[in-house]
Amino acid sequence: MAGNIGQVQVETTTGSLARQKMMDKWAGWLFVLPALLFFSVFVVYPIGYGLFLSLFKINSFNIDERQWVGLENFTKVLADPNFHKALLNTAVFSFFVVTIQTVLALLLAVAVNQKIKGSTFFRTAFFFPSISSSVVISIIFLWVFNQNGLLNYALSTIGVKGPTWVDDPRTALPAIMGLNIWTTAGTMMVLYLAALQDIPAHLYEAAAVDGANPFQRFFRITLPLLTPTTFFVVTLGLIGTFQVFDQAFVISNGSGGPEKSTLTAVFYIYQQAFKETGRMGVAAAGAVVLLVIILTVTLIQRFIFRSEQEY
Amino acid sequence: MSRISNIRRLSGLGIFSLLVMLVLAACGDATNTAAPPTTAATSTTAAAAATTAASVTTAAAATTAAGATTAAGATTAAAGATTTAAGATTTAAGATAAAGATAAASDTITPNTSLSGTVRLSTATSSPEEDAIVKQQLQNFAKAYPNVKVNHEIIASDYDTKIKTSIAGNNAPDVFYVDSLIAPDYINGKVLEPLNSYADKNKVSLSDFYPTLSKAFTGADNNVYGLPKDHNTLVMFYNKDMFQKAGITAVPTTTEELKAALTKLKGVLPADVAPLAADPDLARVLPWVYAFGGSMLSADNKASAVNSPGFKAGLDFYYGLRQAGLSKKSSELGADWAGDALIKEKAAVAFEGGWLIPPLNKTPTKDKVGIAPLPKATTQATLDFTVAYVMSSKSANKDAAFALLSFLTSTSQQRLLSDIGLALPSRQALTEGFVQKYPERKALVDSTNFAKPWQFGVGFGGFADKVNPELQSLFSGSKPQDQVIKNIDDLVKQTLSQ
Repeated sequence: MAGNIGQVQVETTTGSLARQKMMDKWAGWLFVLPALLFFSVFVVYPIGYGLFLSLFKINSFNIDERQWVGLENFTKVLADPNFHKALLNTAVFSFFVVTIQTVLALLLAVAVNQKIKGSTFFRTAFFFPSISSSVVISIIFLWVFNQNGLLNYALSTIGVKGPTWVDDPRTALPAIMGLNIWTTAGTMMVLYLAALQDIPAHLYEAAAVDGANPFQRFFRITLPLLTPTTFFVVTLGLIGTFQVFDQAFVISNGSGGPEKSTLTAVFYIYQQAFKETGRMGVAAAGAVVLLVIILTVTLIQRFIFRSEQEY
Repeated sequence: MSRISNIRRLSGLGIFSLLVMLVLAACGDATNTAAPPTTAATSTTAAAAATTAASVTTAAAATTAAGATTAAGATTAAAGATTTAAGATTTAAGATAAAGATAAASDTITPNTSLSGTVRLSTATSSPEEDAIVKQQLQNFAKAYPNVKVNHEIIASDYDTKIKTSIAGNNAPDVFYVDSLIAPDYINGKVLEPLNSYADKNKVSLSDFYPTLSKAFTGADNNVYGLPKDHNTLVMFYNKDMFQKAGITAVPTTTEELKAALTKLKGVLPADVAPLAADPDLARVLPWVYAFGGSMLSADNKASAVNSPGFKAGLDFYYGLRQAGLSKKSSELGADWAGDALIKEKAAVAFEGGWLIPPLNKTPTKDKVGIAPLPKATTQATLDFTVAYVMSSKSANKDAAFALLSFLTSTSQQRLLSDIGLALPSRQALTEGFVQKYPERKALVDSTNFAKPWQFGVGFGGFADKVNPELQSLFSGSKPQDQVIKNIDDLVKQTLSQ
C-alpha cells in the first residue's frame, strides 16, 4: 500500500517536473526569441539568400528573373583582376590597421590606467571618435587631407610639402588607414582598460617584491594576462577591417579611386551589385568568398591564441 | 505549486504579449519611415545633403564631373557640390520668390479633375535652387490636377544606384529622372514605359524638344521613353582679370590659341594658381577627342574607335597641357572640382557646364568670369548632358504619371528652371527667351549646335567610372599613355561584348 502511495506520489512529481521542464524550455525560447528573430532575419537569412543568389545570373532590374549558372559566378569573380586588387587592398589595410590599432590601444589603455591627473579626460577623448558616425568623421578627414588642409599645413610648418592625400594612389589607402585607426583605437582601448583593471594588484606587488622592473612587470604579467582580450581585439579588428566600406566610399567619393587604390573587397561587391548591370550574382559570389576568407582567418587566429590561453 | 506555475504561465503570457507588441510597434515604425517623406521634410534634408555632397566631392576631384553626370544623374548635378547649407537655405528661398512669377503659368491651365490617385516622383538633388524649382512646379501641378497627389522624394546621393535598387525591388517610383548615359540600359531592361501613345492621347507635342535630346531617350524600337527636362553643354569658363593681367586680348578660339594663352597665364600667375584646372575624367577628355576628329565608338556604336589617331590626338592635347605644366588637377589646387578651382581663383580656366553658374554667382568671382565655347581643333565639338523625366513600366497610375511628367516638361514649367540659369531649356521655343535674358550665357546655347550627346549605348551606364581610373593613372604618371589607351580600348570592347 505504502509503496503504492509512494509510487503515485513519485509519478505526480515526475509529471509536474516534466511539465515544469517543458515550461522552462518554452520560457527559455521566449527569452532568446527577440535576439533569435533579429539574428535570423538580419544575419542567417541574408547569408542564405546570398549563397542562393551566388548561383544565378540575375537581372539587375528584376531580382526575381534569374537563371541558374552553377559556379560560373565564382569563376568570374576569382578571375577578375579588380577583385584581386580589392583583396590585396583589403589585406594590406587589415594588416596595418589591426597591428597598429592593437598596439596603440594597449599603450593608450596602459597610459590612461595610470593614476595621473586628467586620465578621465583622456579616456573620454580617446574614446570619442568611436561613438561618432564614421561617415561624418570621414568627411571631416577629407578637409584634414585637403591639399590646403590641416595636415599639409602642419607639414608645411616643418618645411615638408604634403601630397594630395586622398587623390594620390600612393597615399589614399594609408590616409584611410590612419582615419580608421584613429576611429577604432578608442573602442579597443576601452576593452583593454576593462581587462587591465581585472588584473589582481597582488601580482604586481609580488613582482615588485621579487625586484621586477616595470618592463618585466608589463611583459611578464600584464601582456600574458591580457591574451584573451588581445584575441578579442584582434578578431574584432580583423572582421571590421575586412569589411571596411564606408570610409573608403566617402573618401573616394564612391569611386574606389584614385586608380582603384581604395577599392576594398566590400566596395568591390557593392560596385558589382549596384553599379554594374547584371552582375548581382557575381557580387553574391564575391561576398561568399569574403565570408570564407574571414572565417578562415578567424579560425587560424583562434588556433594560435588557444595554444597560449592557459592562464 | 499550481499557483506558482500559474504565475509563471501568466508572466510567460505577459512577456509574450509584450514581445508581440514590440514587434508590432517595430513594424509600425518601419512602415512609417518607409512612407514617402513630405516635401517640407525632404527639402530640409536636401539642404543638409548638399553640404554632405560638397565635402564628399573633395575626395576624388577626378570623379566630380563623371560622378556628377552619372551618379547624381542631373545635368545640373555638379552645382550642388559647392553650396553650403546656410547659403543654400537663403538662395532656395530667393529662388522660390523668383519663381513666384509663375502665376502666368497657372493661368493658362484649367484644373483637370478627371485624373486622381497618387504618383511617386523621385528626383536627384543637384542644388537647393533646383529643389526649390521642382517644389514650385509641383505646387503648380497641384493646382492643375487637384485630385492627383504627388509624393516627391529627393534622392540626395548615389541617385542611379538608388533608382536601380528600387526597380529591382519592385518599388520603382512612378516618375523619375534618368540621365542620358544610363538611359539605354533602362530602355533595354524594359523598365520604362513607352510614352508615344500617352503623348498622342493627351495631344502633347514631342517635336518642340531638341531632336538630339529626344533621341537620347528613344529606343531601338523608335518609341520615346523620356521627355528631356533640360540639358547642359560643356563650355570654357575663364577669369577675365587674369586674362587681362597676362595680356590676353582675344578669347582663344582654337586649341593653339588656348595653349598660347595658358602659357602666357603661367608666366604671370602665382605658383599656387594654375592656368587651367583639368581632372582625369572621360567627360572632360572626350570633347577634345571629338575636336580632333576622333571618337570612342565607331559611327554605328558597335566597335571601339579608341585605337584611332583622333582619340590619341585628343588625349595628347588634354594630357599635354598637364605635361607642359599648364594644367593641374583640382585636388592639387585644394578645390573640390575644376569649377570650384575657378570660383576660388585657383585656376584661370575651367571646362564646365551651366551647373557652375549658381555656385559662382554666390561669390565675388562672378563678375570676373566670362563664358566662351570650347576652342576648336580640326573641328569644333563639345558634350551635351541631358536628363529626362521617365515613367516606370510598373506604375500603377500611368495616366496620372504621364500628366505629371508632361506637366513638368511643359513650356511654362520648364521656363521656371531655365530662368534661374541652372540648365538650358530642352524646348526650342524657350531658347530665344533664355538668350535674351542671359546674353552672357549664349556660348552655352550656341554649343548645342556642335555638341555630341553624353551617351554610348547599352551597358555604358557606369562606363565613366571604369575609364577614369585609367585616366587617373595617366595623370599620376603610373602608366604610360600607350598602356592607358590600350586599357581603355579593352574596356570599350569588353562593354560592347556584354
